[in-house]
Amino acid sequence: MPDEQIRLRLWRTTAPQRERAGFVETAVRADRAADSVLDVIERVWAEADPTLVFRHACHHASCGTCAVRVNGRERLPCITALRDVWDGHSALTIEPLRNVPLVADLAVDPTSQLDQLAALRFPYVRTVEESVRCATGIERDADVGTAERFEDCLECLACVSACPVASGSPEYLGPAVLAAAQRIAEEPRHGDVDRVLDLVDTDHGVWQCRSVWACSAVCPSGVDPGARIMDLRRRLLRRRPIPAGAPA
Amino acid sequence: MSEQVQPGRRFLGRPDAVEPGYVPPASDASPRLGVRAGGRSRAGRLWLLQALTGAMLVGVLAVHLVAQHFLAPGGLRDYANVVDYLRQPLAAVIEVMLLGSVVVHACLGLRSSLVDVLGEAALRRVSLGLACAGILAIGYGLWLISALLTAPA
Amino acid sequence: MAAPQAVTVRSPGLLRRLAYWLEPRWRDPGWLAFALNRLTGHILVLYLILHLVVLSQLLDGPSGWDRLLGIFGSRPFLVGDVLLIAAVVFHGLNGLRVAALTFGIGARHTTALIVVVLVVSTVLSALAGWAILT
Repeated sequence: MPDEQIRLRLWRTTAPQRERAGFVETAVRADRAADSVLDVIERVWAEADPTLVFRHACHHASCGTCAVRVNGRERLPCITALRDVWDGHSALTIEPLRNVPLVADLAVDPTSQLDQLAALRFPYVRTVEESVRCATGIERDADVGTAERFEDCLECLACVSACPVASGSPEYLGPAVLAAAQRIAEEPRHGDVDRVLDLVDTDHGVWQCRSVWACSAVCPSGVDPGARIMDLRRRLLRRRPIPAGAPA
Repeated sequence: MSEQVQPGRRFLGRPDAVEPGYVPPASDASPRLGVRAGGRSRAGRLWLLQALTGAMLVGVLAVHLVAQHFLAPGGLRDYANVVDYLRQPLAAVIEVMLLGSVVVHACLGLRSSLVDVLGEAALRRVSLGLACAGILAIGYGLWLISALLTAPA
Repeated sequence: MAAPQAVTVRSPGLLRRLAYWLEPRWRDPGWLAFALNRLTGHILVLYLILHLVVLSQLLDGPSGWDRLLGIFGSRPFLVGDVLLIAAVVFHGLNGLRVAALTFGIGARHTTALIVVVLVVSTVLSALAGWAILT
């Protein structure tokens, strides 16, 4: 039962009742043992302030919509247990992702990043890298064929928010787009790998990464963009020139 | 990347089949932009140069620090000691290698700091400026070494 | 998908673009290593310029150069030397670590390697300090 009180510092943008953007402190009921951070955010909206703007959808870390910064660190609040981030008495700070255009309060606009992923023609379905033998020892079911699943990346943009380069340089392609490019190079699925490699082989592509590894540290889905960007670099360094006279 | 995105037609990309009706645009054959003789873009080659000069510096700078400060009598070389040191061929070669690698590495490092801040046009101008400064610094260093080696004993 | 009406697109200001790498995300070891690398790099560039200028005193012959040695051998300068060595050692070791990452070495152990770099840098700087100041 939510019978404790939690103080939240929520980032609020301007509104008719607020002249300036900033942190606003709100208190709501909370159940430290059972609540997720998203439960608490929704309770603020339901019981304290229905003008709070935030994004949410699947509530189980498969859509990537709800990503925010909790106490300065990027997380998916739907799967972040309140007890993991709240000690029971301090205020909990929740603010929107950085380096992504802000709509209002906690809601960001992912359009630009999604458009870049679409321009890459990033395919969302991939083969399963390891198949699990079932009890009969058969690896593939003849009816199903090669096992498939969705790509790990949720496009939650936590990596973009965590990246220090992205915070200073809006031209930087960013870890999400670069990791997607590497996935195309690794498993083309009828994609044009050369085209993708050309797109990332620039001063604002793979070569602007400073190997901070904050992206891999905050990714909730195990994409490991840092390692993938390094892999892209190795692919680029191994590229051979086109012989003179050969078609592009 | 300024690509025309068709709303509602995201490429699903099945591993073993294409989305029904998907035809890759014929005009989108890779133009191999920025891929020059080395098979790599300018950005990639600059990164490689920075890495190589950095690796060189680890060795060459260590030798320089040890030779100039820890092997020198009293810890600091006076004029006579400096000239004696430079007169040894191996020492002169190492100092020239140090000069070249440290100036190139420093210029590339500054350029890396500025890539994050400047737009394309300004970056090109600043890169040119850094290249000129680097060439001047190396030239000055070589002239200094030769002046010391040819100075009357 | 059309962008929502009330999007606030704030381009980072000049100060942000110049100093973004100094942000206090210090509990991220990768960020600390990156900020220190850049800081030591800038310090070393300034020192390089200074060093090249000072070396021109060699052209004045023994009298010019040896007079300077008295200043360079003083305590404050020796302490500065130790700090410079610390900067060089950290920058070099961390630089090697970062370059190795591109070739796939150390990607799974970034935190541990950063700790190793910091520890080895401290030890080597302490040794250099002991050798120079005693």
